[in-house]
Amino acid sequence: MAGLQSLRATEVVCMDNAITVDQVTRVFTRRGSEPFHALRGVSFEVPYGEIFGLLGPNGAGKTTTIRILATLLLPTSGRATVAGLDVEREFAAVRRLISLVSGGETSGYGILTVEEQLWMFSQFYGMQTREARQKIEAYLKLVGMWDSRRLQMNRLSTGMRQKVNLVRGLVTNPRVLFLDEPTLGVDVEASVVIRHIVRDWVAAEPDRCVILTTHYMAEADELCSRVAIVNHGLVLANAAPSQLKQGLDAKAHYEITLDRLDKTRVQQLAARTGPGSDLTLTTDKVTNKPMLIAHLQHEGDIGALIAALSAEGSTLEYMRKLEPSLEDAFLKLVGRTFEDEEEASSAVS
Amino acid sequence: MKKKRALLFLRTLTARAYVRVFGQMREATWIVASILGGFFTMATYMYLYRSIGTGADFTGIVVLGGFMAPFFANVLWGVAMQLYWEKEMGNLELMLVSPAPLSAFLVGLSVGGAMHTMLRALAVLVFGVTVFKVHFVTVHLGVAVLVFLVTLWAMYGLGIVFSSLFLYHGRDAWRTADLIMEPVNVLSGNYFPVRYLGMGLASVAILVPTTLGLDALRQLLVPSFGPVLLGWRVEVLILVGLAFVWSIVGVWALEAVEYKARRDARLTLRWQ
Amino acid sequence: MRGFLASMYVGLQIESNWTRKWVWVLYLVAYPVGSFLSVLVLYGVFGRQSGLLPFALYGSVFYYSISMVAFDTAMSVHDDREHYQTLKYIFLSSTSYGTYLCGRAATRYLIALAGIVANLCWMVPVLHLPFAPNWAALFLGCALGFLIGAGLGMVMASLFLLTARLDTDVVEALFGGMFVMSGALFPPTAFPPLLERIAETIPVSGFIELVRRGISGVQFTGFLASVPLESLMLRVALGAGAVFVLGVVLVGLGSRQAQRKGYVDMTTAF
Repeated sequence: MAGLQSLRATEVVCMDNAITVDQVTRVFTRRGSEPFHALRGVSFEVPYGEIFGLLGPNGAGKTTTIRILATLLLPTSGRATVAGLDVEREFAAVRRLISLVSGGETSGYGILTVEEQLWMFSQFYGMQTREARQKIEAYLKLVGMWDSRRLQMNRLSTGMRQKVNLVRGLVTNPRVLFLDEPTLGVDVEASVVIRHIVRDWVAAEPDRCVILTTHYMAEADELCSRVAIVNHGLVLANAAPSQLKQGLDAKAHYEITLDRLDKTRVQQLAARTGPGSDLTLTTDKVTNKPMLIAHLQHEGDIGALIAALSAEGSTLEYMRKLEPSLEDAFLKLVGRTFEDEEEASSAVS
Repeated sequence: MKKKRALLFLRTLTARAYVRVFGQMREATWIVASILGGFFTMATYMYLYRSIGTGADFTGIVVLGGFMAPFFANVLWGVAMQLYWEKEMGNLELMLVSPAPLSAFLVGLSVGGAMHTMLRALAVLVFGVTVFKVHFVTVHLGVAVLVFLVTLWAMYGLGIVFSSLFLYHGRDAWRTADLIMEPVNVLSGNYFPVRYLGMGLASVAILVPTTLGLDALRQLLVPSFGPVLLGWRVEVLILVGLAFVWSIVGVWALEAVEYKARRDARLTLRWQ
Repeated sequence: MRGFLASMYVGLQIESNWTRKWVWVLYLVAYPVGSFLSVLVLYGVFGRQSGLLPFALYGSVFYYSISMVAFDTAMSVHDDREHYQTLKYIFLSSTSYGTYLCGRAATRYLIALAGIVANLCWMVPVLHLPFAPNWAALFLGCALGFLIGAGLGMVMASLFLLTARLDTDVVEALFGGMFVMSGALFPPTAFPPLLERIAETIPVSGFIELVRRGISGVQFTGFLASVPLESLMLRVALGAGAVFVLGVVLVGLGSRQAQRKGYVDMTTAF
């Protein structure tokens, strides 16, 4: 009977979203200070097979959301589930299905070797030692750390430690992997390895899911199938990165470096390019040559602009189309850049 | 399902005990230090009691006190404080995110810690017998070993209760543990028969398992020991009861504190 | 000096900011009780005839002052390195690590002395302890106690800089040995002659005898009885200076060794 129940539970689990967050709030209270509203009614859903990003500046509420989903913190109100299980009431069952990897973490025991550390954590998930050792070997080889398996943890560089942390998160084969700023403080090479492995890991099985918090826009852009932009405890937008960027404006943006251009001719050039075109002349910082920043109403207007430049006798040396970034999306939604927002938050706190 | 849970408990226990035992082995100076520490403990007791002039009978009971004292220290500092330290190191959240129960970690720590402490405790015993010529009667040695194991079980059960308090209260609890350590040693009769404290104080002291454990061990190994608190058979029965009570209360307290700490955002609050 | 004062302030915060001020003051007074509770019971109940209760009480409370300083100063290495993870920044600062440790030791010593004074205020009248202070000897003794405590703390800190966090057995063994030989709880005249000679030469036992005589005006036992108070002061001063210098030298060597081996920011828990 118990076996049947657990089978049913598994079926239900597979049919549900990996994550549902419904109107979750979290208020932190401290004696002698005002209550801090870390989350103010956050809602989103994440199906299996997705890498879902929570993007926002420091203090936006990303880590609080992850902590609630990872059963480390209770919501003040609202409901959250992982694999259909309530994180507040069914936390023991949730823990069998999840794993957490945080950036900059110094967890574990410095005096253990890499291999011992990973084995130890595998035991906390009840894995058989043989199976654990096989997976540890496979993943350590994948991250390029098999040769370092006998190094003590306190001898590892930040990047190596973070790779070990990622392996720890993967070895136990979770359904939902929480990655909280996984590449924080990590060099480019290690970041690339980590991103690559995360993407492959999700793609390998249909019932896997990753929740990623980051404040690296490029990382969210590269990895996530969908992104929720969070600020001051609110979800401001929730869509695929491409959709978020497309929603910014319909204009096309270009950077054009020229051999020469008379600055008095810029307005005439704009008029000849097409209605709504906006041209700004600046200097290329690398070559010290004139650089034209063009914001065109339609992508096709670029042809008219090039023709007009040619008529002016300017030779085009380099041209780049400027794609809108998630940072632009954030800027549009919040009205400030990430850095400005973080500065403002720290000034308030 | 039950078998799976039991296996998870055992694997977690083994892994945590492994870390404690083999981590210690990497800094092997502890072996020499434990033996020396045992010797100095013994020497202090011996010369102190010679100065007091309590006579040879007293030395046997004091050696047993010196044998048990490191275990209580280990319960406080090696087990009860450990969840607090795990939190400070950033390990606690990974332990909690895993399906293993916190009690499994603590039992693992207890096993590892007890193995580590055993060397020092045995050193006290060996130096007492060989260097200071303390005499024990070994007719009831087997029973004494059983009493010792039950005492350890009850003590480490109490350690789990403490650990839940320390986890929630952080440095306040750390300071409290530091404060009560020596008074508890006195109260539980480490240095003299606890009966001298009077039945009123002694009945409070029996909540600390070393009190009854020591009294029973002294009755079994030092025939001239007196005044006794209760007969050793009764003491063992109470100890078994204490072991169950502290273990159950410990597990319950851990779950309660974990819930409270999740609610109050204290599970990951560092430098508290 | 600025670094010394800053580390004193850090020490005070670490010692006190875990609770409300009044609770901390109560704690400060209650904490030393643990150091002499067993003495009270043992000498007050079992060893009443020995007449050594005042000897052992004074001995244990003053031993407490330097053992606390030494142990806590040494433990601050592991605390700063692995708990607060600030050791690397202290090393980077322009204050030498020895100066920093001295600041931490000074706070601890003042706190310990405050606790001792508070307890002596009730112990002397209630337990009828002999009290005829030679203030010069007592003050000098207390000042030298700081040098000994801080010096021993730095000796142990130099060891802790190179060991794992939980590996405190070595230091506990050293303390155990020091405790036996210190004459805090029982007169070292109980030792075989060779050990008694050794006990006479260690600065800790001289310090305890000096403050004991300084506060009570009594020579309780035959230990160091042949040494007049002035000579004892000189002897303890020389010993304390030597321990302090040894501490400074060893902590300097330990710091360099820790830097060389990359131990300054390591974590070693198990």
